Amino acid sequence: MANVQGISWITHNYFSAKFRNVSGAYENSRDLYCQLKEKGIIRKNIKDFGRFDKVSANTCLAISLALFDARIDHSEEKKQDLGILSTNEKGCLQSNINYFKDYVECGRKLSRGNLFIYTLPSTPIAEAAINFRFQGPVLYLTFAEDQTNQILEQGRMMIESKEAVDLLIVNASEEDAVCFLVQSRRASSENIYMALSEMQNLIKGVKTLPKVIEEISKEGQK
Amino acid sequence: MKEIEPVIVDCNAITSYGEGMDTCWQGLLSKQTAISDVDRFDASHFNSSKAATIKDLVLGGEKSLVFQMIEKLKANINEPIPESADLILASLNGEIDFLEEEVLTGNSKSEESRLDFLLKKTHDLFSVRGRGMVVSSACASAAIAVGRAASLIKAGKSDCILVVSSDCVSEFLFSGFSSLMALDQRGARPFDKNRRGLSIGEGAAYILLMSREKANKEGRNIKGNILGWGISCDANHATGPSIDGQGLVLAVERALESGKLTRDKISSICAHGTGTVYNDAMEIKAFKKIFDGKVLPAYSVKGAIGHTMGLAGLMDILVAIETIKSNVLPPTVGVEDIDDEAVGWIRREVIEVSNDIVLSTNSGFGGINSALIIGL
Repeated sequence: MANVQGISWITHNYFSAKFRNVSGAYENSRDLYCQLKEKGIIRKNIKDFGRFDKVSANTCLAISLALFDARIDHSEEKKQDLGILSTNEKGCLQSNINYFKDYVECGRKLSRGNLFIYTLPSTPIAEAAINFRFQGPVLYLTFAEDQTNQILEQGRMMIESKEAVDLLIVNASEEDAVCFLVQSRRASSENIYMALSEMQNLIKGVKTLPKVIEEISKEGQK
Repeated sequence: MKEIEPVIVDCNAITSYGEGMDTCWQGLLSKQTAISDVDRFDASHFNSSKAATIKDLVLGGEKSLVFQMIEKLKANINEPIPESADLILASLNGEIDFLEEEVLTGNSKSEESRLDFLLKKTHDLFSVRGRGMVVSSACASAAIAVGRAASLIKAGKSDCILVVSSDCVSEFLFSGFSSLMALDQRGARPFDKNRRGLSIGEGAAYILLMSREKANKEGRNIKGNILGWGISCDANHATGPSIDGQGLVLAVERALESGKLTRDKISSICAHGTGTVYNDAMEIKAFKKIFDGKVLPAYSVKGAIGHTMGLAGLMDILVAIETIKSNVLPPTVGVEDIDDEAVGWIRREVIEVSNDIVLSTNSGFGGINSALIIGL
């Protein structure tokens, strides 16, 4: 059985790690990064964070929070067998526009490699895997609707079929992000957790990412 | 309980050699490359002007390049596709020419380049009513999509899945790879001592997977079997592979484990073999670790049909099926002076082998690795 052992979310001005009850307001990605470093949630610098596109920044920050929520130490140099699945509605649309616009504005002869690398929907989770040293499966999936619920279902199946041991499952846009740390093992006694099926029931039929975040945050207030 | 076996009941492709997998296979055996000068856009200022394109596609029309190829693919279906089939679409950039058009002309079309929009159009075109999903994991996209399809069938979550994949040669991609100095001016020469980079290619392909039970019930001809699949991440670098090949080794180990196979069962390797200095060196290093002293015949198709990006893994499966059917391996088109490290593995000539089980590997940006094991 798969359990959710860490849940985090980020809205345009607010962040939260659900089980450890850590939350707060922030101004921009750089401010949130600094706050998470100060709180010891980000244990070592995220390399190249300054050049990240918005989806990559939100993805890495939400993953940092979910790892903290699940009490997983990512500061060690040793690579871990954690995989990352991600989804979102628009892929890397804005980064694609930014890259090609810049190329056209620069005379259509040379482009910038540091913008080009963000023109893949899988780049944000690849950046996260590189920074946190995770060697598990890394894949971006998207669906016609119900992205969050459907990607949780794909994650559950990958864990049940032993294609992954533990997974971070992320839905991140330029504005918001939600991240679940799903483990196949039983939670240790100090961890609060919920069954993945329970989480799936909670957000079943909830269409948009902001609404998913609203449902999860409401659940915490019960 | 008896395990559900995912089998391949149909497949076909459109490549720069022309329409149909037979045309592609004959092209590969002819040792002639389909890579030539690009005339779709001005490539004179890039560090190469070579790519493997499909000449009769129209840029800037109502239909995207990718959708034109998927339509050609639909016209080349061999076997009926059940209406109830689930659909998995694999692509890197999808209909990226819509976005180019918006930036160049101001037409508001960039939203139409979204992969979920292409998924819906593909659903409608193939008249399938099952669930739909897009996989986009860099240049391992299609291989990962087929692995997911096989896994869903094996788990009993679906009994029939159509995997469709396509990517196109675009100014968008071309300029990006040029900026990374990743294009070979002469055209891709995978595993060559003097290789300088890749050549972008385009195409479309599909594969229809079923549970063996359903395939037997429908009297389908079984063309192959996805025996194992594995994914890993190097956790190393955004664009370059890990030098030691350990990430790819891990993906292959996972594929062998998922198929309950040992490495001695593998007869040949369809390598990713992009023609970049680092990818090819990394792959050979990984193969040497995996096979521990044993040298296996290997090849890459990217000097012939170019690097078809998100589609690459599916093209590799279709070629692997041909090699199993014929007990013949294609030459690595483009290679002249084989890299010392690849001697014995890579050949310039067509060879005959006893070929039962093929390992196919793909690696992409972000250090994403995929391994598939294909048999009959």
